[in-house]
Formats: sequence, structure tokens, C-alpha cells
Amino acid sequence: MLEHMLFKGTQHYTSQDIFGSIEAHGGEINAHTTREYVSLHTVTLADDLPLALDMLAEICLLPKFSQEAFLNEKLVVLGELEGSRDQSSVLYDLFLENLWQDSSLRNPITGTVEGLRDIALEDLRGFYQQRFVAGNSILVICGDVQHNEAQSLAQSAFNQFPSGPEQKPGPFEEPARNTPSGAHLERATQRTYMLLGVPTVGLSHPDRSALKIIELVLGMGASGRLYQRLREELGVVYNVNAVSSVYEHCGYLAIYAVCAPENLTVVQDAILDEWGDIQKNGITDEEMNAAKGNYAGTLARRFETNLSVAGIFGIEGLLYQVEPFEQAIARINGVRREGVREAAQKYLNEDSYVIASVGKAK
Amino acid sequence: MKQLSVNSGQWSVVASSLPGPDDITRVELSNGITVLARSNFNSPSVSVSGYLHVGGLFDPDEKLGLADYVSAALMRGTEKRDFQEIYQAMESVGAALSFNGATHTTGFGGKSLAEDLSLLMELISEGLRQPVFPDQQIERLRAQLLTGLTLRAQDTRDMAGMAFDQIVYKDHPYSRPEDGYPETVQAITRQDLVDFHKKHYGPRGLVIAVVGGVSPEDAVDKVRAALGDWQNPDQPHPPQIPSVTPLEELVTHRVEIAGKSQADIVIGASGLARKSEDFLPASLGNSVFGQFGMMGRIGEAVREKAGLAYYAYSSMSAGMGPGPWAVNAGINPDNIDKATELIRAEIKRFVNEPVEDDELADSKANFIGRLPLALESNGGVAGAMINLERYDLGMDYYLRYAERIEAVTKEDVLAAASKYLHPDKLAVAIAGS
Repeated sequence: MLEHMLFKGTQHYTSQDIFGSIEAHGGEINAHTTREYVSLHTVTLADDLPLALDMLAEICLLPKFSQEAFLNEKLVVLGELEGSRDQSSVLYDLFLENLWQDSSLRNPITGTVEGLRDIALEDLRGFYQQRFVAGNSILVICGDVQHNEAQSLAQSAFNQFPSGPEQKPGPFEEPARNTPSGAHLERATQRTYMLLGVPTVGLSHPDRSALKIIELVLGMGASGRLYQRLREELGVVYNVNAVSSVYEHCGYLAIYAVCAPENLTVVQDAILDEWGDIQKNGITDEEMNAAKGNYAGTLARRFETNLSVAGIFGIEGLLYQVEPFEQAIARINGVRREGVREAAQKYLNEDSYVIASVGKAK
Repeated sequence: MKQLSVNSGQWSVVASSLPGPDDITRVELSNGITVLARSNFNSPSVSVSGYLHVGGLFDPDEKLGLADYVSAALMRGTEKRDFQEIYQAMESVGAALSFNGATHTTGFGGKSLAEDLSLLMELISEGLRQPVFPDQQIERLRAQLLTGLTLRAQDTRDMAGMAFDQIVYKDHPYSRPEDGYPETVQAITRQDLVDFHKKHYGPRGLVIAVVGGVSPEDAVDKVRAALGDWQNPDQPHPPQIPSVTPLEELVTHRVEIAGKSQADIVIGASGLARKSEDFLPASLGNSVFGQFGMMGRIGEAVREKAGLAYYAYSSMSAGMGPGPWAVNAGINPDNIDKATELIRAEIKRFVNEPVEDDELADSKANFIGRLPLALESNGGVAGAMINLERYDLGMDYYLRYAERIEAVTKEDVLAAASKYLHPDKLAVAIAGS
């Protein structure tokens, strides 16, 4: 709701002005919200950087938060929550709600119908005043501009930003699991959507790199182990790949699969079997080289546009520390086969995984 | 609101970075392939984009979806590599490649590190020239395609779009979905795929663009090495498409899909081809009508003020032939009639009154300013170069783009709008419960 409300008018601009002023220069302005942060971005020509910064500052510092806009937006979001959300987003919410037992990471980003109904405009304003402070924010400018000039423009645009403290969520301890946990949401769909995963580690943890290699070996497109086994050999999935998220203090590694309801057990067993194989036998040199090559090629392409680079550095800078391209490649290239096997033994725990599914049970 | 625009000094700086005759290398190979290349040594990667004149227009009615099926099967196995080997080779260097069938053409697009361009070209060549259509892979692919068609039948947006095409392009090839119908896809045999590929795939008319960290000479050499000796003397010429018969009245078609809380609606008519003289006035008009800011006048009237839609915008698709010009909206089924009337009222205003000076100025500045941003990536430049060739725009098109946009008047916009849209001669397609 807060992200939506930031774009519903400021002290000096209407909602149309905000979009119109940037788009009238061919630019783009938008935002997104994750479980850990709200991100706003603009893409403009370098000469339009002052305009972009002024508009971002206006949105961040002087939102109007009118009661009328708040009520209208609440109705829109409630309509979306009560309407037909796609299966994948429902699945991810179900999975994370069960993966995390105490952490607020288990809450859906869009909120709940009940929660949203209870929010008053004053709640939203209070949350905004607490969180939208300089010490809790990061500004990344990427493109054809000199550092000193960018810094000067940013200081000028954001000089009224309240200087509040950084408010990172602290590390947390999740209760240990001794048995697998499952959740299913019945829906009248022809296919069943499934996530099977485990908690892993945060951005600063040394095991992060080995876990990335495991993710790629298991789910690297059509050449990954699981695609080859589940789709090519067994023909029991429509789609399968490995997914992960790395937060500040924790993360997860999971397998996403779409299959016919009657194949769910076969898919689950095959995933656990592949996990067991990596725990026991590790991965081959060929798999290691392919995973490292894939990581390098994919990361190079992500560094192609300024928006993508700003996004990468912004998230890293906000939650941990900026990692240049070469450093990221060196980190992954430093992973050894034994490290991968040890990480598999440590995290791919067959006794404590979480499985979530959406669709028909069988 | 502040008056804002892209100034001429700013544009002259921007224009120096746009692709033009001085930095695009264009080479025609002896077998009819056109190669376009442009270097960008700021990037370690390279993008390849291209198309050939093979599309759903060649499909027999009873085997609709054939061209699409063939394009989807090109990476399922070739004379040199099986399915797994293709993907291992590609993914182990972080490269990506895909083929996709459309109505007029089959396109392809790939990305890799510049050092892996030879591999990428090998994979493109093998896919285009040496697919073997393995039985097992073809059946798996068929199952996937059929699943996609089943999902399409439940998708209100897809079904509204199909119903719209069937009204606007009645008795015209554009009324046919290029991915076919379940019964036509079921009817396609492996031999159909083999025969279609053998007959229609060839080098004549193929266009390929290479952009990134590679010299133009090197890029052309690599394309020539991969595709330069390809021949198909029997390759047919693209079929001529008939003209579209304009609607003479309001035609409404409803597609009932049970259990849906949202209905999708498409309202519009046949628009124009990309080569039309009206293209830029119509595009600017469409921006004012249903794109700029919070989806232009349509977004403002239907979503923001009336609160009738979850989304509402207008789209104008201009390709080899006249594409649809329509308003698309997702709405509560109870609001269908109200939303339809509101959209028709906005169309009436759009085709009877010139757009405001401010509206046109904003959209012009948007078009001019967003061009360099769209060309920031290698893929964006490759796609833009492909369009130069495909629509015969001229190599200096992007350098003169601002000048062309600035020359459009509100009278030009009104003329284009009233030429293609009429509030009483529209297709109204609705899908939902």
C-alpha cells in the first residue's frame, strides 16, 4: 500500500504529473516492493538526471497521502487480493509462509484481506515516517555522469530527507525442523504447482557461493539435472527449475515444478533423490564448469543496462556490500567440488524440507 | 505542471550515439542473406537477432499451427547435437537462444559473451538448417503445445483477443491464430514438420543483426561461416495477403468462460501496416489516446475516474500488414456495458476532435526521449536494426527520428485516427463469465 500511495500525488504534483514529467522526456519511473525493501527507480537520459532526482525526492519526501486516494487504492488492492491471483504468486506465498516459522519473511508482500482492512491512513503515515529516512536508504546512480556531479545533484534534491537511523532487521533464529512440512491449497486447475525447498544462508555467508552452484547444477535451464530427469527421462513435469532468494540474514533454495496432480509424489521423490546424490557423490567437473560458465555469462548480460546494474548494486549496498562484477565471478570460481558436497550435506536436509503445492491434490 | 521536453541540443548529443549509416555494416551474402552488424565494445556480450520469411501464412487450414510447431522444434535435436547437447553447449556458457513462429515470419534471438559468438552462430545454423525432429521430442512438444492451447481457452485476455481477430479479420489470414487449435495441432505429423521445413526454410530474405563486443568484419565472417553456403532453390516467395474489409457496423461477440471473476474486453478495428505513411501520426495519437502517463485518456477515463477497470489501455500493432488498433481492458463483468460505452465515447472524441497541444507535445517528447533508452542494450539495437531492414525505413531513420516526430501535427493525428477508427464501426470482443 505504501508503495502505491507514494505515486498517488505529492505536495506539488498530481499522480499524472509524476508519470507525465518523466515520460515527457522519454523516461520511465516505477517501483516495486519485496519482503525486505521498497525500491523506486527512474530511467532517463543523462541530461535529465536533475529532473529524475527531483521527482524521486518529491515522491520520497513529500507524499500527499490523501484520505480519498488511500481509500480508493485500498479498494483496488482488496479487489486484487480477492480476485484471481495467478497460481505461481499464490504458491510462493504459501511456500514462504511455511518455510519461515517466526520471521516476518513469512508474510505476503501484498498483505492479507483482513490486514489491509485494518490499516488506517495514520498507520501508513507512521510507517512511512519511521522508515523513509536517510540512514535507512540508499541511492544508486548509474550511467553517463561524473561522480561529483551526481553527488552534488543528489545532495541538492534530497537535502530535506530526515536523517533517521538505519533499521535493518537483525539476525533471527528459526526453530529447528526435524520433519518435513507440507501445505497444499486446493484449486480447480489442470496442473499442480509445487515448490520444495529448504532455508539456506544470507548475503554475507561463505556458503552462498556453493549453494549457487548447487542451484545451477539442479536447475540450469533444460540442461539441469532435474529438467533432464523429470521432463526428458520421466516425462512427469511441464516445467521444472531451481530458484533461490538470498536475503540479508537468510535465504532459501527450492525446486519449482509444474506437473499433473497424479505425478506430484513422483516429482517429489525424484527431487529428493537428486539431492541425496549430490550429498553422497557431489557433482562432476563437467557440471562444475558448466555452472560457473553459466553464472559468468548470465551475470555479464545482467550488467548490460544501467537500470540492471543500479538494481544489483542497490540491493547489495542496502543489505550487505556492493560486489563488482569481477569479484562476483572470482567468488563463484573459488568454489570447489568438495565445498559443494559439504553444502549439500548441510542444507539439502531431507528431514526438514518444506513442500507447498497449489492445484488439485490428486 | 512544469513544461518539459527534449531540447534540440540534447538531441544532437543523443543522435551521435544512435545507429546510422556510419556505424551499421550491411552486407548481402550471395545466397540472399542480409547481415547487419554494429560494434559495442563497452559490452562483453553480443546479441543476435533475425528472421526469415516462414510463418503461419503458409499453414493449411486443417494443420493450422504447423509453422509454429516447426519453429518450436528447431532446438529439439539437430544432425550434430541432440536436445541435451544443444542446451548443455548453450547454458554452460550462459548463452541463450530461441526461435519463435509468427504470422509472416519466424524469428530468432540469442545472446552470449562475445567470445562465444561462434558457438551461438553454430547453434542458430544447426537449428535453421539441420533439425531432425526426433519422434520422442516431437511428441513431448506436441503435449506442451496442446497444454498451452488448453490454458489459452481458459484465459480471458487471450480469448477476447482471438474473438476480436475473428471479427475484424473475417475471411482473412489474420483471423487464424498462428498456434492453431487443438484438433489442427493433433493432425500434424512428424512428416509434415520435415516437409514444411524442407520446403520453406531457406536463406533468401533472411535478415540477421549482430550487435556487441565484436567487430563488424568479424561478425559478418561468423555469419558467413555459419550460413553462407546454405541453399534452397525451391524456397517459395512469401504469399500476398488480401486486403482487410472494413467493418460497416458495431459487431459484438462474447466468449463464455465459466468461473471467471474478471472479464476482458477488446474494442477496436483494423489499423495500419508499419510501412504506412500514417504510422507516426497514428502512433503518437495512440500514445495520447491510451498509453502516455497512466494509460492516456483511456486509463484516465475508464480506470482512474470511473473506476471501472483493473487495467485499460489502447494498443496499435503495425507489422507487415494492417494490425489491430484497439482498447484493451480487464473489468468486473457487471461493468461491461458501462465500460464499453465509456470507451466508445472516448473513441468518438478521439476521431472527431484534435488532440490538445500539450498532449501531443508530451507524447512527442516521450517518443524522442525514449528512443536512446530503448537502444541502451545490444538486444535493443539489434531489434532496431532488424526493423530498419524489415520495413525499409532507411539507414538514417533513427538519426532523423526526432525531426520526423516533430513534423507531425495534431491535424495529422486526427486524420490518422478518423481514417482507421469509427465509433459505430467497431469490433467488441468480450471473454469471461
